[in-house]
Amino acid sequence: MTLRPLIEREVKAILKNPAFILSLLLILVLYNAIGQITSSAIKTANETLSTNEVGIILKDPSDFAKRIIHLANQTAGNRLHIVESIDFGLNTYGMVLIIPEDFTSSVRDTSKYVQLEAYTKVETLSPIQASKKLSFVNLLGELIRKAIVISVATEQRVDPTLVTKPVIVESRVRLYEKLMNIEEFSTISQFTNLVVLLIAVIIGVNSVNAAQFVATEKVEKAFEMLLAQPTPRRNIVIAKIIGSTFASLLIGAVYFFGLSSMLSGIFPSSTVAEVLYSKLGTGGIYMSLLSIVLGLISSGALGVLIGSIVSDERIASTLAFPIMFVSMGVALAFSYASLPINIYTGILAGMTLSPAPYIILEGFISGNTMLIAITLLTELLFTVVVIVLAMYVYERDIIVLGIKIKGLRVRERE
Amino acid sequence: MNMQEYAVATKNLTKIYNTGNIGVKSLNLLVKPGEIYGLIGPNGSGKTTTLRVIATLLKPTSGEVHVFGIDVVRNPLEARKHMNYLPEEAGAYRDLTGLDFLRFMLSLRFNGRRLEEAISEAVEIAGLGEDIKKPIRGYSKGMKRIIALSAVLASRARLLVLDEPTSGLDVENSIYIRDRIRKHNKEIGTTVLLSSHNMLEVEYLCDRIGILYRGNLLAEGTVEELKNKFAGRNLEEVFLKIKGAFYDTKTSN
Repeated sequence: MTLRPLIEREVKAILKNPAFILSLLLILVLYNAIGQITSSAIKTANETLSTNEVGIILKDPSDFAKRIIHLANQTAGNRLHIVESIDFGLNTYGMVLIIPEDFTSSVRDTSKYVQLEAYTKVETLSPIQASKKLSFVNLLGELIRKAIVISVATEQRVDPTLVTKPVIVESRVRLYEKLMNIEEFSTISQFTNLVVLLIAVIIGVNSVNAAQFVATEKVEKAFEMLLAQPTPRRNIVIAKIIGSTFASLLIGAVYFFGLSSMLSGIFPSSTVAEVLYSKLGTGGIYMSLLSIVLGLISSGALGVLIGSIVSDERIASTLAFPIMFVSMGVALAFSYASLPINIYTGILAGMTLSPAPYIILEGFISGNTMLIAITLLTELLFTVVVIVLAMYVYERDIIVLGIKIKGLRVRERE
Repeated sequence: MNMQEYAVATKNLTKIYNTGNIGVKSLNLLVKPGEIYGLIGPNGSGKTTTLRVIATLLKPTSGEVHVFGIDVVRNPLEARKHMNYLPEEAGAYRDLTGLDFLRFMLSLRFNGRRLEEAISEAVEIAGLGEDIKKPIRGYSKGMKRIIALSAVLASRARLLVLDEPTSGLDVENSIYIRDRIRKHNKEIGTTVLLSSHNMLEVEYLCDRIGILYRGNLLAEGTVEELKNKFAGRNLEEVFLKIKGAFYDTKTSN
């Protein structure tokens, strides 16, 4: 009997909270947008794949090898082109397949399998784009295998289904100018993409924590006492931001350690740290770390700002949670939907914080210093603006009275 | 009027909120050094607004506010060095112990030996015994208020701005707090500006009283002066008569 009104009261309280409704709408809109972007990215990747051309380095000068390539080329719709060097092939066609000197003898020898070497030019850390491109290598291997089977069956006048010849393609990736094996590329790609999401979560949690911490101080009624002390308000703001950044760095360090251990377990041939250092260098790592720290400072400042203008923890969390959604949404869009990497997306990343380390890593790998500079500068500028705004708020009546949002009580009584 | 002669001097102080609500209207208030001045009035009369403006938490819409001659709008940091503020329903950080809270608050004013002396004084004022070393989350409302008041009193600021210092407390805690305020005022000569709903408290504690109603200062004087002037047996009667007169004036206008 008494349960129903209690439940009704709880549900109504939730549904009447405009900030809660706003969060729901934001989730729907944001993730729908991410879905659209991802779908478009997959479509683009598929389209690119369907028009892919491949450079072939023919190290085996035999007629048999030439016949195999000719047959494969006919099947692939004339998309295979003989090239002289890996660099030329990669720069012209984005993919190179090497037919080794022992190709014909490997085909003839029933105890051997055919081993090919493929190079793929990848200019993204996005798993969707990269995996589509890399999966083409397997198609290429299959194409050569079928050409071998048909040629051998024709030569020996046997049923092609009776001919078996395994073809193994050893795949290597040229990520911008850095050459690496597929495992190393996977390590870097997985790590950076997981890190972006992780940073997004940490940045979101940091904002919520900072907002709640300040709001709690208000609820405890110690805040006004603090504001009345003879200490510059900017010191209070800076202390709060440093506190939240410190907490996040601790959380982040533990997460990163766990993540590296996890990935090192998946790719035991080399530790993640070794791969990252060998392929990205200390410069790239330090730049990304700087970007992460700036992101944490910004998110802490945003949280402090939100906490300062609300009256309790509940409203502080409701207003701060969208930062986490936006942060995660943009991170997903960058890492999985593969937004184009250019100056504009660099600015967007700098303002939305979480994708900035990802963009900086891409910039570092590709040697695009302008992209790195623009992203870091935007992030720095955003951080400074938020801190200055927080300092401004601490000098105004809003800090005590809160702001007025129609229908949402975020203010103290006057 | 020489603003420097007074602990608090406001000149045509007006605070209008963004919502259009009038917090306080053309308030001229003078608090002499060393006195205990009480602002009384019902909810929404402007007591908290006035105290917050003086304590530099809010900025006035117009008018001037000086604390010991220092303009609180132009030089809030300097003004805050000379005063301390106890907000209405003041509490303390739940995660700290009482002792840590006192140390934190007082460290914003003192350091070194002076800080240790101030902490000792605050511990003595609080009188919480061994409870001072326990987390504040386990404190009663009265204990929280006492610990906050101890931090304010031990700061030895020249002016104490106390917003409803005993509101919501039981008789025992209320009397303790009143006695500590009175003792501090007598022994150190601290000026106290406080607000209260409790007319009896104000009668007991304050040297002079200002009656605020809807942002207007309707009357001012010692308890006896007000009683005589408005022919009231106590402050409650005085307040009701002043309020009635205010409405009569409004109606006739």
